[in-house]
Amino acid sequence: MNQKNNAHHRRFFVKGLIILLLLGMNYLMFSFFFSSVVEDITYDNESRRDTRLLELTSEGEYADLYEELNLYDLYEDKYDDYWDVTDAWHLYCRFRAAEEAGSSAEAEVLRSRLLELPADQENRTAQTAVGRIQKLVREGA
Amino acid sequence: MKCPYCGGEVSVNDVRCPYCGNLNPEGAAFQGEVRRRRKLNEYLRQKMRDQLRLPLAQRIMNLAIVILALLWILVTVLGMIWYLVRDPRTLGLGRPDDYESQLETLYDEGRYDELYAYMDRYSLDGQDYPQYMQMALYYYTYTDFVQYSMNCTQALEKGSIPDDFHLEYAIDSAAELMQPYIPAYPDTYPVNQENLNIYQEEARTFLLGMLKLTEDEIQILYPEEDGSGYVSFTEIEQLMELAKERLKEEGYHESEE
Repeated sequence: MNQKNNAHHRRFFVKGLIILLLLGMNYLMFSFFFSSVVEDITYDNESRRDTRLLELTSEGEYADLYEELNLYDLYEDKYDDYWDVTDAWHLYCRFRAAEEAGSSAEAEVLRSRLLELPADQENRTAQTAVGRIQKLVREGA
Repeated sequence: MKCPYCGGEVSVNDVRCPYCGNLNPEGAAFQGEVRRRRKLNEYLRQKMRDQLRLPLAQRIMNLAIVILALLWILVTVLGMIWYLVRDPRTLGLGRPDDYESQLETLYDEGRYDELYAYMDRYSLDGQDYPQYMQMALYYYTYTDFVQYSMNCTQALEKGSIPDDFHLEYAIDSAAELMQPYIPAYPDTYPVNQENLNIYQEEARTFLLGMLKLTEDEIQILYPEEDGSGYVSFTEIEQLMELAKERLKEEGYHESEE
């Protein structure tokens, strides 16, 4: 009788383990495949992305804008205006760093490079942002 | 056998005599025995069926195993199909014929951000294209540095000390530029080395200018003379605390976050 009970319990235990294993495997598969599905649904929405880029540009969050552009590999022509903004901000950051580090010659080169950047972007928000960054340098001079 | 009433020939299976219609006691007893055994058989068969039947919990577990296994197969198959439909390039399929010339163009034109994305998109192995992969990885680290240094400058422009996250990663990515995981081979890939030097110089200027660290303090980020070196997390944190102290002295206020 005892032997019978032991075998019975062992079967329960093994089946329980198999169920746990299968649950784990299902969870892994779901999260592996369907996280990308969720990501696609969330981020492949172009208008939502464009709104986000516009928001970041108008709010002056240029570093986050740069992150967004890099994260989703936005290298199509239509994003060029945003890249211009991040280029301008990057030049400004380098200019400030050079100035603070006492490398005035380097700062001057960066300053003129920044001022030479064309501010003729089709996207008005981006254009304003580039102009705003250039103004920071002009005022600092 | 003979019928006890009329003497006619009756079979042992017959309950009644076919000639006189009287009850055949032996035939009746025989048929009774057949019925009894048939019932017993039925009873035993049912009992055996009940004994062989698994308890409810066992049946539920078996069902769960089957359902979960089928679900797993279904999810895997659907997931693979989704992946293929969504972007066949992730599986190394659909690679354009001229991808090598594309790589060359991106490299020659200095479009390193796109170079990294291109290699990643078409699952191009770094071992087959070490020159491109090395440059792409340098640029990737540089991109990290640019982003975090931009975050820091943005905070400093507002008069506040950058938050710990951005400060730490700005120093950490600067350290990675000083001591890249893939060493530079100036004789083999001079362009990569030149670019790395430019990135390193930018990182150095940032650490000195914006974070107010000194040349001596950032020496820890550079490799030893023999090329070896390792910057620990504690050392990065020490530099971070030092930078925060200096910025405080300069009049920047603590981040509100």
